Amino acid sequence: MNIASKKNTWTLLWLLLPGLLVYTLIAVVPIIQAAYLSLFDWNGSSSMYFLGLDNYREIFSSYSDYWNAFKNTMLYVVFCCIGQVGLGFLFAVLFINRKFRFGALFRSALYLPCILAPVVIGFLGLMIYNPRFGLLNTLLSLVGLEHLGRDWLGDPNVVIYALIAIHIWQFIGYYTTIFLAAAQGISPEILEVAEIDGAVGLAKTWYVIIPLLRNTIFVCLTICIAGTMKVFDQIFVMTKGGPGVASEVLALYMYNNTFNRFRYGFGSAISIVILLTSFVMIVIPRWLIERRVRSVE
Amino acid sequence: MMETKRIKGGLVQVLLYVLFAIICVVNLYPVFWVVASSFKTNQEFLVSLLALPTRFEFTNYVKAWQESRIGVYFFNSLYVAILSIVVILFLAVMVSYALARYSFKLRNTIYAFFLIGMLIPVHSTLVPIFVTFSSLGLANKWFTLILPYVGFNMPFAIFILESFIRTVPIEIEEAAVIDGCSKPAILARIVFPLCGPAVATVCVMTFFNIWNDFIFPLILVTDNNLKTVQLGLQNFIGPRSANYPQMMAALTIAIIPVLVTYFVFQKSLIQGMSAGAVKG
Repeated sequence: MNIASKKNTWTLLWLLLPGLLVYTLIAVVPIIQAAYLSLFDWNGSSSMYFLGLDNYREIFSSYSDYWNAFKNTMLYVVFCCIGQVGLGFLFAVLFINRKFRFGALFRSALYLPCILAPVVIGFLGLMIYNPRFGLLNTLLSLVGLEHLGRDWLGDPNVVIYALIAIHIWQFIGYYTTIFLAAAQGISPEILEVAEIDGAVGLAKTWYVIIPLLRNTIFVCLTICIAGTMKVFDQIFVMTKGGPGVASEVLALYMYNNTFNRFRYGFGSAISIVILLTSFVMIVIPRWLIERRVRSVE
Repeated sequence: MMETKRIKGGLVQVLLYVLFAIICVVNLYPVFWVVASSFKTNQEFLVSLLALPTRFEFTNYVKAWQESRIGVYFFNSLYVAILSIVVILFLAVMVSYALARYSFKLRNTIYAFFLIGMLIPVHSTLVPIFVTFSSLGLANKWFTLILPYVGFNMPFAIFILESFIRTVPIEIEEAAVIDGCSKPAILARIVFPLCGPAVATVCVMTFFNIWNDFIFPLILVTDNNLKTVQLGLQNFIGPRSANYPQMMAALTIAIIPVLVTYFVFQKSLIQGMSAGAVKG
């Protein structure tokens, strides 16, 4: 079937072309377009004014809000990698190879928040953090910790952590599920042998489970970083980046500059910076890890 | 010795059950709270946030569905999702089949080119997509949202379908060729039906992505008759949103399709979510 004949080439072409065309036009061409637009000053209607790299200079200058958005995004990435992948792994290790009653209920409960729309999560956040009618402040005063209650989304020092907490909550179950699925591939004999050899608890986790799940851990970290770099909807619903720019992340910084201030050129430049940042965040860790693994082996 | 070990094991088991219960409560309670609150009157809600509703009041749902137009948005979302999924499956099955069954020079390059799509941050394409759609008059049309959804969901579909087609024995197709079956017929009548489980995974995952998406309607749709559920929910933010239970009812309506899909297709969903990650 793999003999290259003229007829085969035609078949191949009409199989590939439609998909390739749609995908390229919608997902890939815009990136080239963004790179082009990023060299101009343009408000969308009047004529475009060529700036060269001035948009990028403005982004990286000390007075821009870019560094604030960058810092918030990095806070998101770091806390989510620890909170989602870390805790997800911990839960999975605790539940590996254990028979539970209500196991099905547990799996459903674990996974439920992940399937909710970010917008819905945003509304949930609004209802949880609302200073007057919020779930959190109500619960705090119920257990006598009223003094801890505050306007969670109105306090510039707290808001970003409040948002991160919701995001971690949403996706812990996702990673637990992935780790549990991967752990099913570990044969029970291996774990039993390890226990007979005296590897229990931490030692078993460190010397047996982590090496066996190494690939899954890397992939989870990649998914987590890629996913966290995209966070937008729930922040848009809860704070729109406020108060001030206290909870602005990169995607929101791009959105606010483009669609509120009509700076399409500047917004495109931010898009390109986001693309490169994600690329660096995803590719470089993988590359480092692979190199280390190779040097160890 | 044995005795202490057994007690210790029992204690661990109890602690795990406690942790298990905490996770269940923390994950399920907020959703339960939204659904429960949606049956209250605003008065009841403001008096006590946590109390359960005294009776099932459906007025909030009726008002959310009609006055807040969630009904219109609901069917818009459904329509966009279904149409997009049909197009995605059509294109992705062809591409996946070509990538799985033919060996040609650019095969690996094309495969990688598609997979990179899963890592493209959607936000870095928004400005050009907005500009292009506005200037070509593609915004605010019945097909507007289908274009980006097809483009951005195809990589995942190809990833799943390609690896599945590889596991389908080629002999069945060869038999069909001998029987004089044409290529389109082989694809439609043999390959596609055999891909059942993979198709289910793609459908469920894509449905979730599209139903839950917010960013494309936000920048491409301003026509009130074409808005999707996630965009329509924004009406509840701001000064007019004083009626919390009605908002909760709207949220519940927005969650229901996802919940139903989740419980019906739980297995394909979890397979799909972990497929890429576990295989690495």
